[in-house]
Amino acid sequence: MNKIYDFLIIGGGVTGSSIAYGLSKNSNSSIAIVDAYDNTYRASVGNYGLTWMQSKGYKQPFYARLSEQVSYDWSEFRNELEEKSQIDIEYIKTGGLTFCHTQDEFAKLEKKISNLNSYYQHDSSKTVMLDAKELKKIYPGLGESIVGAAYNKQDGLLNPLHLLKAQLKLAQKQKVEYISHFSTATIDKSNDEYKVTSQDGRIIRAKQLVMAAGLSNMPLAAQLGINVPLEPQKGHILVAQKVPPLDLIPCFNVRQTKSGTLLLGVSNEDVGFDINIDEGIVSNILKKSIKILPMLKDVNLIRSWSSLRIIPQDGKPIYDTIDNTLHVITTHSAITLAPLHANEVSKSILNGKMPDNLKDFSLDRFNEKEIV
Amino acid sequence: MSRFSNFNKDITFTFNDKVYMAKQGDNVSAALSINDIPYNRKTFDNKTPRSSFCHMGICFECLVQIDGVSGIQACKTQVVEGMEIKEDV
Amino acid sequence: MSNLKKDVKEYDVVIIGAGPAGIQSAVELQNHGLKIALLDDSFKLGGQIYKNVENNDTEEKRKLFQEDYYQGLALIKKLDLNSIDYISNASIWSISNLEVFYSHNNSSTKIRSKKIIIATGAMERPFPIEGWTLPGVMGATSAQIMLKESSIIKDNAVFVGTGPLFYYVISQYIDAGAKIKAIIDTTPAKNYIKAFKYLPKALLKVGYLMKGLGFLYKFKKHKIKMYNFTDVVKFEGSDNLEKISLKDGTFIDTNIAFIHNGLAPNINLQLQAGCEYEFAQKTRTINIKTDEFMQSSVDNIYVIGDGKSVRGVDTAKTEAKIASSKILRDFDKIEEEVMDKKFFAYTKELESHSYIRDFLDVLYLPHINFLSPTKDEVVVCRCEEVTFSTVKSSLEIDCKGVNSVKSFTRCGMGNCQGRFCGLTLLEIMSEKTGISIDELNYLKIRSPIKPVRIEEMANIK
Repeated sequence: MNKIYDFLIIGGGVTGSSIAYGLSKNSNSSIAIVDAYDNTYRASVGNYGLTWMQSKGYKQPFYARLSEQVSYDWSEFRNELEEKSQIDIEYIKTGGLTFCHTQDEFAKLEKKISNLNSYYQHDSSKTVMLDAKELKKIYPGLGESIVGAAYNKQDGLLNPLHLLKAQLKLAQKQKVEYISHFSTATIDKSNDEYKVTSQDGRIIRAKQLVMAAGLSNMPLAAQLGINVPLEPQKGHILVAQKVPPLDLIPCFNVRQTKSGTLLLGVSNEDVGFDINIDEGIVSNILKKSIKILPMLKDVNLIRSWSSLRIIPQDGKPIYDTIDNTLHVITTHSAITLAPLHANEVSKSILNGKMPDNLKDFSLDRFNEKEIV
Repeated sequence: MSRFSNFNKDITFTFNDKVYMAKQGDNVSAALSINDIPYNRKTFDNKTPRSSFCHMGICFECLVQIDGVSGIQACKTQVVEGMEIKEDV
Repeated sequence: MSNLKKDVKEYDVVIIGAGPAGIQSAVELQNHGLKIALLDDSFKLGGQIYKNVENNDTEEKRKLFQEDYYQGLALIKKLDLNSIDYISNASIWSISNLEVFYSHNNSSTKIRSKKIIIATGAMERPFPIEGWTLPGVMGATSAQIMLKESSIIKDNAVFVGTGPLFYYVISQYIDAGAKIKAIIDTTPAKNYIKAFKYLPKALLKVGYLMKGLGFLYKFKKHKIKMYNFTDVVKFEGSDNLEKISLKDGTFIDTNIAFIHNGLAPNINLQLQAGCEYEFAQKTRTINIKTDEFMQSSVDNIYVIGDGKSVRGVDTAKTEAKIASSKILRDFDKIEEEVMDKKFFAYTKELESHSYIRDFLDVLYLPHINFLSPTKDEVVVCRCEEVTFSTVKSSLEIDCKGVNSVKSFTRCGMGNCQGRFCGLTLLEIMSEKTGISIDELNYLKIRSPIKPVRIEEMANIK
């Protein structure tokens, strides 16, 4: 086709759709977003759905502060999305817990938390350590073997599938062209435009590119001589039946969705691009969850999931603009950082460069950056 | 409705605390059906009444509570004397 | 890798499903010095077609049930239960790296095998029409199961549907003395014309055709009210079925409807195990791909019978023989020449069984109104109560595939894990996007394929 878009976003997951929404909200540019197939890896539909700051940015002050900042933006972002899309993204600032099974675990976590707390701007952002007695007051039904937990009242949960749906709906309402079944194979840069070709030979041209393709950002950026070091990290999530509301404060082991479904998790495995279910890992997740919430014993598990997280080499997000026209946006926290992507990052893309407060997240830190 | 040439032993069970008759060898779905009990559960979201659909263990519409335990497939469970069956929660 | 436990039971072959295909496999493989397990989720051997045959071996019952039902008894009698491990009430919920996880008496066990034969049989195709979720509306197999297991017949039932099994069940109901209120036949008129060209080949199985004609004659003889070529059916009622309405405004009062929209392979276990599949245009079902020896795309997993592709009991048994002879050869229990000879003979058998297939498949392919919903209120996903209009709205935002629809609408997320909505989603998707249905991916199926209590899953033996 002969049309040259102002912006082409590669990747229709939560990151891509946040930016599609944000760009189209703030400009009249012509924007297209491409998305591959139903059965590609898709971290966006295999994640646990928490907005989380308490564990992010250990010894990484800028990342810790970024996670802090965005947790205060969520309520407003939620209101905006829901009002415009009429889709309930089910966001609640419930607070969040990280449970400790042994005193040793508690001590280690306490140390880690104190490092993170030292970075935050506001006192209300600080994570506190609770012993078992204090914990029982806010977590009824707690298992006897739990010694304590870390608690941060700024953390929360939402429905990540509804978030994706709302952002895609609004982006299209705001005239973004959504092109699916387009699996990007090659990217060429010539003169003032990027030429993006799909596996089946379709071509889209754009003046600027936003790379939001998750793990695929790495091989695609490499075609332009840009090093985006990413690792897949496998995580299992288990889905149990719906039960009446338990008012659970979420943790990574168990949480309840608005529809009543119980989600159990999680695991962190370095096994490359393998997304097969490992029954041994499943069994470990279940045992741990039962220790935290014994009533789970009699609940039915409906299915297990595994998905690949996108982990930049040092764990921190990647925000960079190369040559004013190529924007690389990659993070393992696309859910938590959605308000940032839809607002500040999108505006920065329109300005042709990332802002100073996101300097720490540029690709420079990986020491290789060149355009072919 | 009727039975024909079934000479199995008569047994009693309760559904929602009311007593009914069935025969040895019946599964719970059949036992509820022969007693014209219209539904065994209501859906989680909209509380719509449901009852057995496939009768072979794959539709999960036939769920009941038996002797205090919820979420049991009626079509895969044989009725025994004195079984206490309730609408599933 | 899964935790390796030293005391995991090891088998040479695990057969999943004790219907005709599974039992035939066990019969072929037994007494060759191999460790065989036969797992089945029913109380008794026989699957669906031979359900409860061991308990129905009485003079009176033999007058009611036909000769081919009792072939099941003959087959079961060939089993040497001393030489195999037969585990009934075993609900298999996962296959992973040739390890089979099953639930039995509220506890889950893992066993390992060198080869697995999956013979899970068929299920009823979804029938997405208005009111199909009302209590009182049941699959026609329910009628057959209640009849065979408990000798129950429900009077004044209305039968709605099409297909060989549909007529077979009605015939059995009549023989059992039931008063049938009406038969609403949904076989499209044009199918008779389309099927005509396959009739000559089908006549090679003239006995089968005669049986079919016999059914029609029986229905006429008993003066059962028949509504033919129906393409619109609606079930109505508040808390349960009260009446059925047809296109021309006819109402039929009833509280019981037995419905049947044809059969499809029961494939969730095969898909979870990683077997490649294909969408068969002729039957509009998802079938499992295998080589000529019935081995699937996963090494050492064989898929046979209606659980691979619905072609009836004779084909199922022959496929069992083919898979078994290959397996015996792999274990060096029979010579190459013996296997070749068997394979040749069985292939000829398969061909003979297939003569009637095209005719039946074309004749009984459901009307498009019964594959893809026509009204917004039709419930597509029974478990999560997702309607056709919700599915359509989702497709307006994202039409990547049925897994996206699942993500945005919850279709396929309930207890049945897509068994009763998966095929409907494919039809809707294909119709709305114009993408050919055989190019669409099916729902991603994961373990457990049936709900399992968390405590049970945490403590696998």
